Amino acid sequence: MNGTLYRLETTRLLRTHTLLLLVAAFAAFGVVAPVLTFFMEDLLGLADPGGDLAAMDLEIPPMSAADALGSYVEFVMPLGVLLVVLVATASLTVDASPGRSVFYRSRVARMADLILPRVVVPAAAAFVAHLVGVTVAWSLTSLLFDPAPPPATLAGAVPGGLYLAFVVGVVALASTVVRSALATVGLSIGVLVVVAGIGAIPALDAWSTGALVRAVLLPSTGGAFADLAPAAALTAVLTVAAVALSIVRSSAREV
Amino acid sequence: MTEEPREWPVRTPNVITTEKLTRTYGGDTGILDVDLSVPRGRVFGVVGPNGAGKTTLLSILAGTRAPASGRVRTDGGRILLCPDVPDFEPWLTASEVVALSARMAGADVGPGAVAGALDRVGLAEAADRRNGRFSRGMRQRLGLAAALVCRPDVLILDEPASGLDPQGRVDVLDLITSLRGECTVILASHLLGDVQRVCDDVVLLVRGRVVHQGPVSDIADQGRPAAWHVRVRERADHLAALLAAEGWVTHVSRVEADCVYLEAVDAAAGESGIPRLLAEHGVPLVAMSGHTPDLESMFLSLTNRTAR
Repeated sequence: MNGTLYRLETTRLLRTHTLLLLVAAFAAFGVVAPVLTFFMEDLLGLADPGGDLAAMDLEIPPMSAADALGSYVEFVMPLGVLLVVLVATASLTVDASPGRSVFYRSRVARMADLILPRVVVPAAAAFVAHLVGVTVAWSLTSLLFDPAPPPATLAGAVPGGLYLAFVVGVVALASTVVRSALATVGLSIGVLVVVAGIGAIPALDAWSTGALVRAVLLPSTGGAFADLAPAAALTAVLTVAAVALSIVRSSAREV
Repeated sequence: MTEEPREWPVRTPNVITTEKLTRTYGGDTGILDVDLSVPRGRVFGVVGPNGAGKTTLLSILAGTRAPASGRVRTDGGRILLCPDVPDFEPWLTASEVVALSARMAGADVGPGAVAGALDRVGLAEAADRRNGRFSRGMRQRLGLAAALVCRPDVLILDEPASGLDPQGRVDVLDLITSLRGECTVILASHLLGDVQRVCDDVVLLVRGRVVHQGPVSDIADQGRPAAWHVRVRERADHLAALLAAEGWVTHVSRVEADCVYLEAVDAAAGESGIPRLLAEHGVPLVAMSGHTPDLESMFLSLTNRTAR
């Protein structure tokens, strides 16, 4: 295939401004999260002009760099993941249009040639966006709070990128179960919610795929990346399995 | 200089042959026991009423669907299908779509070949425009260009002229005619006049079964009943009733308020029987014209016969 379909997917991201929007969104998370955390007490005061909360004698602990980066993660997990699902869906719903499906399917030698670029390029775009978001969040966090360890924090973006690749893999599989973009988005989100629910079971905590996004917090909280090894291994296996299954299913699908 | 002996590969006369091809979807839909022989280098028409199984047949020949039973033998190389509504990434220009098509198919083409393919389908001026705003007709032309640039051995066209204006239709039919010998074309169309004009051979599907297959030129020799349009001064209902009572009339229908279409057991019976009947009943004749056998009349005759 000599990179033709990889170039096509890159062109899609650039020409439809998808990459720009994705990076801008993650960068915005990186700005908003530390700023909101820094001004949390003032914001609560503004939201409670009557002093009702204060009268309840609630004690808000002082905000830290870990809280600021944690706030970034809380933005990424629902909103960032949703954006990645949308971006991947735009690439992977090849069969949503029979005319387009026939155009591609009658020309590629194997379905893997068609699907792999549509997984790899959006996953790479999601990783770049997450890396930019983490960098912005770390910069502002360091400015507003105690400086977070820079290389370790940025390295924490890598496990998060693996989770986002898993998200793209789930979309790839969903696109071979249903055809329309809307159904693919719905099914993907449903699967991701179920996976997150399973990961929330305390006994399975170490294997939670979503825990990978929280890797950016580890340097600030004193955790070790090695603790994420089971989750990273499971996520990598699930991602490869989802993509492989999507290729098999797509090859067997009729248009 | 001595000429070295060369061996030419032996190629079968048929580029595609099917045996007992069957794929059903419940009820009458799909195809049943389809035996087909598509001659190499010719334009092969597939006609049939809605739901006859044309799209299923084309999809199986193109490899985008699998038969439930039966076999497809292909002796061609690349088989490409142009659907009736082609669709491409809307943000690609026409020339990018054609170049992408060629590269995906592994065809080694340069910008000249891309421009040539677009020129051949009349899209040279739109080469640098994004296809997202193309009309359906322009997309159909673009689909043709994207297929031609791959130099297919078999080109399957599903309703290639359905979205085109009259001039565009003529251009596409001329293009298909020019492909004869360059590649084998399988053409499905509801426009029977188009099929008769450009196709060398035709297969007629009714309810998933082949009811006729052969050269288009043989259609006139099918031994069909003689037929006429008879236009009269008064209302045609009366004449239709009179004709229906005649033993030599096999079919009669009112096609306009003052015109009937009738088929007779043979030409001689109609040629003598119609004037006699009009004279006997004093029906004023305005015009009478023989109905020339064509694909459409054969289509109607065979589909009606199969439906009975």
